[in-house]
Amino acid sequence: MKRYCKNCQRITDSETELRSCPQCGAEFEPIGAPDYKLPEPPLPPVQPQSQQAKTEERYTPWEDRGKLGFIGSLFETWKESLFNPSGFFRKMPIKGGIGNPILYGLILGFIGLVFQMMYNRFFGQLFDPSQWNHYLGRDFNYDFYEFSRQVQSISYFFLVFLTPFLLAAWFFIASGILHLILIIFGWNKEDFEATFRIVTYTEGTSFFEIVPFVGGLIATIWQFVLIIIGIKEVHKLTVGQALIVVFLPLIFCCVCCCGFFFMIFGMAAFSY
Amino acid sequence: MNASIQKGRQSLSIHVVWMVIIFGVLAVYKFSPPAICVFHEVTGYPCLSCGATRAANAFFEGDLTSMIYFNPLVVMFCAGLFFFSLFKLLEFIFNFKLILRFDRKTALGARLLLVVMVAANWLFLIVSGR
Repeated sequence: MKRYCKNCQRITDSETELRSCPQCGAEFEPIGAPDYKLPEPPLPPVQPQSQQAKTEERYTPWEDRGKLGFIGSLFETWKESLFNPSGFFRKMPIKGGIGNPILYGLILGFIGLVFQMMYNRFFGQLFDPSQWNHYLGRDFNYDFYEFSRQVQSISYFFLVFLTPFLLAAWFFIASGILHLILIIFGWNKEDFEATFRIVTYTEGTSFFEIVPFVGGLIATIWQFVLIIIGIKEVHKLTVGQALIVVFLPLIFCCVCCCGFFFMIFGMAAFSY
Repeated sequence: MNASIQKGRQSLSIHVVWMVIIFGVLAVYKFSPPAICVFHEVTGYPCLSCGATRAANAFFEGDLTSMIYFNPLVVMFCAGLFFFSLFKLLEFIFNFKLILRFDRKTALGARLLLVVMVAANWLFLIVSGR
């Protein structure tokens, strides 16, 4: 017969009916007492699965620069976020400040912009109208052309300094719109910071702008795909819900806003 | 709805940055040529944010009436975001945090109200012929 001692909180198993605890000598409660209940053996503390994932598995190479080094962590994060997005976003920390993600987004965004500018310069010179205008037999305003080239050079110069601010603003606006849609539908399982991190870590697609002509298109499409996957994994949504979150603002509201931002970025880069 | 105030040292909220972004975006709108709305071009109807550029222009000219007329929801949204951001800054300065917990009914009501406001704003833009 098992008896529980309220005093020393031990269970005694005995074949005979004991009246007092053999450990501490305190009297046992009568078996028929209204509050008599043999306690269940204590189980080891088990953390909920989501809590476990948050504390143990959340990891992004970029936020572990001390171990992997700057270039190593940048490359690992870029590779993981682009080619294993589900795993990356499942493991991505959803808290810890915006400094690291914003730095990652700015670096990759800046690399993309530099390639864009280089290609514009290169192909601009390759197909320079002042070179082949002679063969077309048309009048050509060389003064205006020279002026436009100078304006373009100045705009490139300013764009280099403005890009970090424009990119950072774009990260906030894009993640703000996405998070607002999530709130409206009640699908926001995590805070704004989580959505912000999704947007910044998908900026790795800017590296595709290394591909001439179609790089920008590939980068844009792949970034949308990554954002959909990121929202699905981080906010625990279905693919359909993630698609709604991404495309609803794009269709109804932000076609002109996005166009506006593309226009701002493109004004200097495509000002021929 | 349950509201409580938590006292103690607060870290600077990420949302403080909205103040800067709102003014930045309004300034960029002000000094850029009017953008073509693809939604308007395709459907013939204004999109939800149509009139934002004109509202930004009116803001910098100090014409608040026109600003609201061009797109009431964008103005309300920017103002709301600005005050939310300001409140987060005050929380940081004065070391307190307002914690709001919405029950299910209130949260649903707030969402519905937001959807109704968006729909009403859109209807207003269409009716007023933007």
